[in-house]
Amino acid sequence: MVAAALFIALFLAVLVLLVLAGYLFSPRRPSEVKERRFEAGGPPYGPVQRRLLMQYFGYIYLVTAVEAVMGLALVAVLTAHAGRAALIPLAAALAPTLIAIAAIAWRYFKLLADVRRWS
Amino acid sequence: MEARMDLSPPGDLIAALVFPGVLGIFGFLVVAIWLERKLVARVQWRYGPLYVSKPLGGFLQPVADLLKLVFSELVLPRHTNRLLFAAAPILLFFAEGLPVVFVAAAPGVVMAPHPYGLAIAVVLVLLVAVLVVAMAWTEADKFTYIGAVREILLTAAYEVPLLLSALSMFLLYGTADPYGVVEAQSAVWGAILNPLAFAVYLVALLMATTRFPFEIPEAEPEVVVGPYTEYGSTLFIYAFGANYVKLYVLSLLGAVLFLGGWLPAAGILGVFATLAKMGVFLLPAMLVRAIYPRYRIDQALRIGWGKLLALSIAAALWSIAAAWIW
Repeated sequence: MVAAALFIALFLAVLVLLVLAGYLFSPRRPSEVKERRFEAGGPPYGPVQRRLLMQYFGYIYLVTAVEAVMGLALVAVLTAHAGRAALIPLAAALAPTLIAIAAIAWRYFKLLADVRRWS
Repeated sequence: MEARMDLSPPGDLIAALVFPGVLGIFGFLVVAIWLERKLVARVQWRYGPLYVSKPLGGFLQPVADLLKLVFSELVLPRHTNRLLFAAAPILLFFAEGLPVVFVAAAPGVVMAPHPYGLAIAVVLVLLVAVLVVAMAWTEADKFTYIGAVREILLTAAYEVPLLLSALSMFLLYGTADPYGVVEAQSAVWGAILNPLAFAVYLVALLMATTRFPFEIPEAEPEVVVGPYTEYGSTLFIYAFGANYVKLYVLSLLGAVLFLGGWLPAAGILGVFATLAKMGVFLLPAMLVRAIYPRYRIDQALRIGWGKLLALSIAAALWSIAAAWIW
């Protein structure tokens, strides 16, 4: 455990120090153009953090929410040494996620089933 | 079990500091970038980098590049949350390196031995996609937006096969312990016991690290460099290098899961055996860049959700059958 803590501390320290080194010692000539959003040479146009198309939404939800909850719950169970009793928190963690998936699928079923939007 | 007995105090410190720890990760970044440029150059009848340190075959070129990047101006764009903008690549790079905590490179050379260590490592590898998306969202740029969506689609396509191929090996060995998995391969390597899982793992590794046939999120002619577009200076090293760290972690995991880890060697010397076996995953991952075109996103998804998924299910069934027969 000491080794793991040492690894994490050293790794993070090196990462942060390298950024700080660049921040403190690199030459700095700020200009308005440098701080703009990159638009391949053109002036920035339109918002970016807009709503995603529905067809991507399911994937994003799966990858960011469902997977994270399931993965972390699995890790929690595996590290708990509690045997079968640890399955209850796992089930408790999975149930809301599955309910949320079911609710989203039910709410947007018409949209999801509309094949024309997917093409 | 015997391997755990000789867990001497220096073993885990070597794991933390040298291999597969901090020095290994940063050293790999340099070696991998150099090796990739040289190998691809060889295939394409070029010399590759030679300007810096010609007698060493240009080996110091990536070091020079990284130094130059560290000391170039750090630009934090105005439209972003500057703190998140700076923190996202650091977290990403860190999270990509974190799974090595649970992987043993040789008997005793592991930071945190745990009976389910390798399963935890696999889960940690799969969780990182969240941070790529968070990074792209923080940058708030059209290219990062498209890159993030592609990354997610690709992630959703490869992670089930990757998980299933790792899982089928755990089923076959009956353990996810970093020592137990290698001991189970003392007679025959996992790649021979379940070649389907090995094949799936190799392809999923290429997809997970967005190596060439699947280099879709950061396709240069289409989306600049995808999720890393806005970064410069040290932050670019982290955002861009995170994929190399993932390659490092996945090939280390693959060497342990499929190629018997440190097996012919024993003790601390096993580290070198593990390093050599990682090459089995690294060399194809670097060479495909020279010979393959890039798939379209729908072609990559079709592979992931179609053939690869079917193969990985077959691999899991193979393992269940094999474990049942024994």
